[in-house]
Parts: sequence; structure tokens; C-alpha cells
Amino acid sequence: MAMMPKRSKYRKAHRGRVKGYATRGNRVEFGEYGLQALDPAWITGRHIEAGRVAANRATDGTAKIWIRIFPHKPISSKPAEVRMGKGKGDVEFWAAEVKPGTILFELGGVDEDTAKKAFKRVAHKMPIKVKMVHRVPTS
Amino acid sequence: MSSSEILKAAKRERVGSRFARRLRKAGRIPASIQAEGETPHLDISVGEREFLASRRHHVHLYDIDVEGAMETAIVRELQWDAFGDRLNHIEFKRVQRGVATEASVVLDVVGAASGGDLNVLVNEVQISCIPSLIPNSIEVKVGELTAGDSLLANELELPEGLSLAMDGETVLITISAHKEEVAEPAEGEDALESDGAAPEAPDASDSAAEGDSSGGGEG
Repeated sequence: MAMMPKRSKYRKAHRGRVKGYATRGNRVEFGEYGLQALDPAWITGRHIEAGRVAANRATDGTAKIWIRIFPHKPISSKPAEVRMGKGKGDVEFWAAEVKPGTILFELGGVDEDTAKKAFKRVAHKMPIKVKMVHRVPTS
Repeated sequence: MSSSEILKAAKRERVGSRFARRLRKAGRIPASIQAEGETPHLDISVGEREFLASRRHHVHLYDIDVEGAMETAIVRELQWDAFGDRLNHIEFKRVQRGVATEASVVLDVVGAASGGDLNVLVNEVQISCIPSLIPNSIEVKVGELTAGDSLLANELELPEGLSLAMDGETVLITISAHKEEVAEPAEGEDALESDGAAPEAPDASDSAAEGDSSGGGEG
């Protein structure tokens, strides 16, 4: 089941633009390794779920997985072959607005090779370029 | 244990993002030394290569030569760019040799927990010691811990000369038992997949047929 909010204040949202770099959520905070976005994108609930399953299978369920993003944004679209007008289309899916630098997933409790293998599988499920990162010292 | 290193620094006459950006382009990192008592705050810049080389050699105590005036300091905070590749800013904290100061040190978890999943809840601990004794990391052996065990801050084996500067009851590491359900959904998923394979087979042939027809159309 793809991730989506349980309830929302407004049914539909503006599309907006993903500009700039991530200034928050851009550090590995919980696990030992992270998967960092290198491009701006809408990551849908399906992408996130596919990534989670890929990581879980690659580590045989032994790793602790943190999902650092959540699809808060409703994305609407009009059906095929419909004339313009008559209002905004229905919500098709939910997406997370991701800026370059955002940590998408974190892994803990596994060695580096396993994490690398798992993130490679997850990377194939993502619609953008990503890279594996380690924790950086803050002092 | 770390030794001290002399770091040459230049005063920053003009501050702000534009000038900081120019410094970074010139291979220098904007930095500041915190005010302490009546000693004022200082805006400085240090060479990126020299600073990173000292970090690679696990130096924690710096003698900063600010245009002739020496300041003894430790790193209080490092600010990285969005990708964690380059340093944006360094904040130094003034210290005195021989006087205990507080610093945060990373935990180095060694070994694998037997019979459970390792959960590292806290990655850095606050310690108090004289600046020359600040370690690069504190080793934590988890090999003897079993499922249900936890490690508190006051149970850490600290090197000589170090004392804890945080709540001793803080839980650093826990070992949780392997969840039995982990295996069950996998079997369920497999079963679902195998069930779903039979009805999907005609679809696959349909799509293949479509592919053939479309291929014929192109030809």
C-alpha cells in the first residue's frame, strides 16, 4: 500500500516548483548510512514503498530502515481525452517534494557492503539520481 | 588521543554571505571563535586543505594563529553544504590547556549483538576532560549484549581522564529481539506472488501479442 496522509486540510494543491537545495533533512541522523537525492523531484508514495521493499529484501529484514520523506502533496491530473476546463482533475497520487541533498532512506545495523548492495537496489526504484552517504561529523 | 596543531588564520574584515562565498571560492573556510567572558568574538577564515588535513589526523585541539595573536580552541560545530561534501563554516570554542572543558565525542560501536537487532539511540556523548585528552571516538563493545539488554551512558568504559557530562541514565544502545513476523509476511508475499502468477500469465501473452501487432504495424 503506497504511503499517503490519513487526512488533509485541502483536497488539491498547486503544483509549485522544486527550487534550491535541501537545507533540512540533509544529514544522516538515525542510521549509519543514507541515500541522498541529487536531483529535485516528486517522489511518489509508490516509489517510497518500492524502495522500502527493495531495501528490506536486500538485507533479509535484518537492517533497521528509516524512511525520511513522506508524500504530503496531492497530485491531480485530468483523464485522457478530456477537453480543457470543467475544473481541476482528481487526485491521482501523493508525492514528496524532494530537493537535492535530501536524505531519502537510512539504514542501520548492517555492515557497509550490505548497505551498499541494498541502496543500489533502492536506487533503481527511484526516479532520480541518488548517492549513498555516511554520517558527517558535526563537531 | 589528539595532539594540538597550529592553524594559520586571517581575520575577516567583511562578513556576510557574499564575502563568505568569495572566501570559499579562494579555498578558505569562514570560521568564528566564540566569545568567552570579556574576550570578544572573532570572525576568521582558515585554509580548507590545512584544516581538513588536520581532521584526517584526528586533531581536536588547535592553536590558531590569528595574525600573530594565538588562540587555543576546539571545534564546537561544523556546518556542511547541502550534500555534506564541503565545509561551509567552522565554529571554534576557546579553551585553556589544563582546564577541563566539555566536548561531544562519537561512539564507535564494535562487534555484533548476539540474538537481537542493534539499535543505536545516541551517536554522540558529552564528555568533560582537559582539551589534550579529547578522544577521536569512544569504543563500545556490544558483542556481549543479548536481546532485551540496553547500555546506559554511565555504563560506558571511558578512557582515563574523561568524565561523563550528560545524564548517566540516558539509554545509548538497546538490543531488541528479532521479530518473528519478519519471516511470515515474506512467505505471505511469496504465496500471493505465486497465486498472482497464474492469472497474470494470459496478460503477459496478451501484451506480447500486442507487441507483435505493434511491431507489424511499424514494419
